[in-house]
Amino acid sequence: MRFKIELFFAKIIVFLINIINPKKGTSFPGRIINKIDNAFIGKFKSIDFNKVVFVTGTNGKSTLTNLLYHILKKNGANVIANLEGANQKCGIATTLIKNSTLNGKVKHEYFIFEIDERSLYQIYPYIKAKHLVITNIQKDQVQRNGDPDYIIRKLSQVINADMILYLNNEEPRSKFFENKSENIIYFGVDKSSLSYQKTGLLDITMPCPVCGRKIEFNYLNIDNIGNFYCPTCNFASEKTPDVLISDIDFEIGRFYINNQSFEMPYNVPFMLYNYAGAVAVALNLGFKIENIAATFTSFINIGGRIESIRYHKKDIKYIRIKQENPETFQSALDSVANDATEKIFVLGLNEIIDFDPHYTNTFYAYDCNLTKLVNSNVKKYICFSQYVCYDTALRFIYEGIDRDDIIILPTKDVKALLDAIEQIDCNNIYLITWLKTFNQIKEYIKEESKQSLEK
Amino acid sequence: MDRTVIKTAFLYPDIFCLNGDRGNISALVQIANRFGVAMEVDRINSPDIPLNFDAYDIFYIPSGELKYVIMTAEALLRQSYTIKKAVEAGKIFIITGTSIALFADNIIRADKSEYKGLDIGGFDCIEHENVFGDDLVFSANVFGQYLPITGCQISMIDTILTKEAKAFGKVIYGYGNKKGNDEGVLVGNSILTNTLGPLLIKNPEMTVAIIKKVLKNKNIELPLNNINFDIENNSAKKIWEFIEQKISK
Repeated sequence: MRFKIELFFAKIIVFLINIINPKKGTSFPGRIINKIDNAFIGKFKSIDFNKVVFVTGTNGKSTLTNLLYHILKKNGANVIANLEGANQKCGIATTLIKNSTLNGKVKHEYFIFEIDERSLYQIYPYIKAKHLVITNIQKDQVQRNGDPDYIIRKLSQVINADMILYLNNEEPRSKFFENKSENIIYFGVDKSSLSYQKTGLLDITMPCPVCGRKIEFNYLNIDNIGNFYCPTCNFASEKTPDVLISDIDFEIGRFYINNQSFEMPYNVPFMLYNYAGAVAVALNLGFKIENIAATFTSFINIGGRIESIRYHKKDIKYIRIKQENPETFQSALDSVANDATEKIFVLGLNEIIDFDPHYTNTFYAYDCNLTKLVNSNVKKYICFSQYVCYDTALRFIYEGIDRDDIIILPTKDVKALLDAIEQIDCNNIYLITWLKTFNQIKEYIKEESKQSLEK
Repeated sequence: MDRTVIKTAFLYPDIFCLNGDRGNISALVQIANRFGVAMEVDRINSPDIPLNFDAYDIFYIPSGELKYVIMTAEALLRQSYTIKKAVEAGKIFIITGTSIALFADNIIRADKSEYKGLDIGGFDCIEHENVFGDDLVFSANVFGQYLPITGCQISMIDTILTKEAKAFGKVIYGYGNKKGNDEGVLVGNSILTNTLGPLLIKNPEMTVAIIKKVLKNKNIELPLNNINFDIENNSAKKIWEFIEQKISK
């Protein structure tokens, strides 16, 4: 009875929040109700844990969740997922509140939940998902996560032998969980034309999670993810993972899994592991490979693309990154570098305003390799932000960029930034900054266009 | 005339190097070059290989995860005597972040398990449950020169100094060794600091002081011209401005 009252109350909150502030509607109702009843998410009826998939890890979990949901939905399955990215306990609660009857019955067959890696231990005691995907465990948001081993220890509290684990065959920390269960499904990506090796003086890879010595990569598909082996303890990628993406052709956007051809919705290397992980789960849930492949042509990733805006003659291409996350920053830099035409590169790293204390970390920029970017015909670099623009500029200077090729703007005034861009004789602009700053830029441009039309 | 050469051993970059610490190698190389000094750097990735103290002037150990610091310390225990002797003889080690635990007497994890460090600095390191990240500003005497040092800290350990141990600096803002005045450890010419990331880029005068010390150790006298570090200085000023604004709130 208590649960029914709580659920009724929660549904009223959902209704109200959607009127007052829809942006908070993905997690706020769950946050309130979890405070009242910590075990709330465990009280919904008709959830078959054998058909619950949790997707966790540092990078790629949103995309993989979206793709898996898309595959199942297009194949006619009755599925729900937390697609809006609210991946903590409050987000899961909100998804269940929205998708249940007043009796707390959830009529869906499959449940695909993206789970924040630090929140898994709070969610799993109530929803004992049979399937757990670990995309990768990498450096990320150090103020929250400390280091990757901190996350491994958090996940280890939960991962158990009852689970079917879907592990990234080429990410050593993901594969490190293989001893936790006998039900392991490995997914991986074969060598491609864009695979590479790190051989420079300042190139950094990673330690073996088993013995702590240097791990060797036969090739890398993305930063610190590729076919690996440890010469000291023999921990290594499986020779034949259960799902392997092979015969990758980025030109025509195609790859194969078990002789089945797949079209790439996005032909960039970092997406391949999301494809492999999603296919691994869908296959194990019993969907046919040809039916899975057929859904790839219509997949659109939420918030995952380069967004372009026009400012006078300038074409500004914005690439979003996760703050304090070198891997997404590296992928964004590589996307910029893939355009060999002359360009202005605008970088607006900001101070980290996540929770108290705010601080001025920009050191994750030193975990990224700028060589490709520097050699990709950048006419001018612009570093802007109120407090860390000089810090950002130093990253370029110590990469060997001439001081005169860098414009430093110690401001958060978007007009000053756009004025600086305007003065350079180049219309091809790439911008990497926080989403909030980009939204301010968009708002300014929209307002300016409106005013000029009124004149 | 042959160029003066300083040699740096970049220790365990693929095992540690967690927080953009490789920027410190760029700083050593580029600032030395601006003085007309060649900085040669060798990567040494295996703690199982004995260190050659005659071959290098500087040993740099970047910040790492405590799990791997413990594993590396265990491997290095076989050569702890020679490392200790080298430090006592004035070799320069620069160690950043959690990796300072390598030189600790004891390393105690949050689950209370205990491990041996190299027992060089006269301090213990105790892991805490939560992560604490913030800016870190402190003053330090770097080879005879008092400098303000600006950086960031992601604190995973408390560093507890014994009576004989000497802190590297005095905290002006931040967490330091354990939310007190002390920051880092100074053992002979070896600098152990909680600051991580590109410390030597953000604090180029510290890098200059290290290079000068190496040259002095080698009995080399070079006319070192003043280098313009205006961007580095502006970077520090902006960060102090940010910290002042934080404090005022």
